[in-house]
Amino acid sequence: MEANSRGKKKGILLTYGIILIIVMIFCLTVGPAKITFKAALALLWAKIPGVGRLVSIDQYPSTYLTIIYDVRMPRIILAALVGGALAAVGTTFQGLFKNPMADPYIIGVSSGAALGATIAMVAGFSKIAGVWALPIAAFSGAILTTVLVYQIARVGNKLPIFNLLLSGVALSSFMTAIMSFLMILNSRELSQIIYWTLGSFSGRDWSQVQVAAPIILLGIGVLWFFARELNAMLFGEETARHLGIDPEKVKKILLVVAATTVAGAVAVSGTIGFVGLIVPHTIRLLTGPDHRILLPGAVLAGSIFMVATDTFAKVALSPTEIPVGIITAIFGGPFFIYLLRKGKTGVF
Amino acid sequence: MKKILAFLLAFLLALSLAGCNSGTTAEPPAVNQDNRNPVEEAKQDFPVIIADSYGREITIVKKPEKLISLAPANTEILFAIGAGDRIFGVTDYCEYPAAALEKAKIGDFSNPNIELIIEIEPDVVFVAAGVQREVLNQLEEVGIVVVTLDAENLDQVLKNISLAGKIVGNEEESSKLVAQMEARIQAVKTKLAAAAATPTIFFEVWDDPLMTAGPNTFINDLINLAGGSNIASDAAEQYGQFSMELLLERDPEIYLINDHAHTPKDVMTRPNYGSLSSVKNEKVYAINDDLVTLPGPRLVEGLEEMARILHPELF
Repeated sequence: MEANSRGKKKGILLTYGIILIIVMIFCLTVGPAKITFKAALALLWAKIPGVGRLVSIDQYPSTYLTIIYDVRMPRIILAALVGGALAAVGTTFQGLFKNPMADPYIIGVSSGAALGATIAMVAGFSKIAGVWALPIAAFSGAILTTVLVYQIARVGNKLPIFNLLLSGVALSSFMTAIMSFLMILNSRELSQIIYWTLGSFSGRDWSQVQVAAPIILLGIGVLWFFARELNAMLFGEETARHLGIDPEKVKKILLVVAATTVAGAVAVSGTIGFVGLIVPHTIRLLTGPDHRILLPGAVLAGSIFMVATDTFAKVALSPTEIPVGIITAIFGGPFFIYLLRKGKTGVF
Repeated sequence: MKKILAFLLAFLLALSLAGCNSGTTAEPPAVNQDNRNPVEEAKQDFPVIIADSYGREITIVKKPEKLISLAPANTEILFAIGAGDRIFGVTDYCEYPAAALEKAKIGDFSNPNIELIIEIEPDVVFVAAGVQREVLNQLEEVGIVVVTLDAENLDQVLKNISLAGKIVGNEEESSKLVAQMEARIQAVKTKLAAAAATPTIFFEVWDDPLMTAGPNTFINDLINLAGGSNIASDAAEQYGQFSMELLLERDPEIYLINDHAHTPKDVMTRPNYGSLSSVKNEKVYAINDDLVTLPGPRLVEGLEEMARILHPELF
């Protein structure tokens, strides 16, 4: 029975994985540029080593190659990475804090990143650091906030979860206030700051993927590795201790890894909301609370959701792009309410 | 929820700030067409009755001595028609001409300080449309005369200059300025008549996210007047994000940026931009965006510069 259920759950992961690959390939063929489905497939096929020679792509302009390989592909991969990262950290925090309201930003990572990005925009850092000004500032803001929240919440060697939540909320509002203040003082940068906080993958290229991928993949890997500990923590720190787990150590490791993972995601995409909150809940309704399945399931589902919504954000009002954070909220919110009403059971 | 609302509000504000004219209810200022008094007679009589950009009828009882301008373009207009010495307050953003920097500051564009304005006891306050509607109402409630000057195209700017001249009693100067501007526009048009082609243009308002000027913007208007074609003229917003892949697909012949954020070299070294014809042919140019976005007298300079960039062979 147990083995059967495990096998079924592995089947779920495999299904999600296949859906993700199909969605990614499909989204490579969709976009504002009028490249036909056939042309896009031919251009993709042509680059596969060995069999690529079988199709001819000479009839297509060279900008098509740039669009598919240097615009769409890095953007889709980045969306998948960020969606996965947000879902993984959302899952971890919901389990760690035993709080259904927890999302990747609950300990203030997003406000820290947003404040960092705002300062960079207002002070014109991009004149010095170019395209990397915003990612660096956002990443530093996120990490700095985590360190601060950790220091405020810490009692001696212990890290009480409630302290962590409360100091996260407090510091978050404080930094949002500073950000709003900076925005009022610099209303010329207002729209850029707001666009950033809404989140977008617009204009991303391979360099962002190269920077974000190692941080995010390593982060997700470590979080998954701690799935068993996370399961134990769900039953309380006492129980975890009886199972031979050091809760304080696990909390610290998870906190650091999760915060770094989100910081990596936020740095390249802005603060995209809802994905990290609703994807873990949705997958939990489908797979149950075992983090060994839930976490990778949520990662794959987060990636699928993000790639699909980003493609929608690109084409819905073409040639104008919509910040993807708006789309995730518009689709994510009602869908989650539907699931909640349909299930009629508690999420936890 | 409150946070989201606040963001949305700020968002709207920012948009209307970016496109000062976005709130204008396209009513052309109903300037009195039957005015048979030749402008040369100069010494005009007050009171004058005018209609502002909202079409509101306003009576100016005597020649105003104290003026306040709440928009950079209005400040430029007032200085250009020789009423600079009567300006007693401007916004933090009024940086042109240099003399504007010497004037008392009464706050920023979207949020001027009402108390400071009342304290000055101005005879006329010049505002822009859109975000400043609220300010207009507040000032009128305390009995201050407020005139909205805003424009969506070059013709309306010329009309606003005439209107401002009438309001401040400097009609001679304003007519002269309008005539000069019209002559310069005509000169550009005459030269452009010989243009062999209409190059395609992309105007980068911001790089991250990539934003451009769509329809109903001065940038779009000037590109057309300067004999070009804006590849974003079908965009859904005035100032919105633009898709990178469409930029590559539509492949503009000329890439324009504003000179305060980047240099053409920045653009040419960006990843993915290498395949653009404008980058390959080194046709990336910077332009002072005040010249092409502020609905004031310098738009003509913007037009001339744009025309020089688009058709160097003719200028």
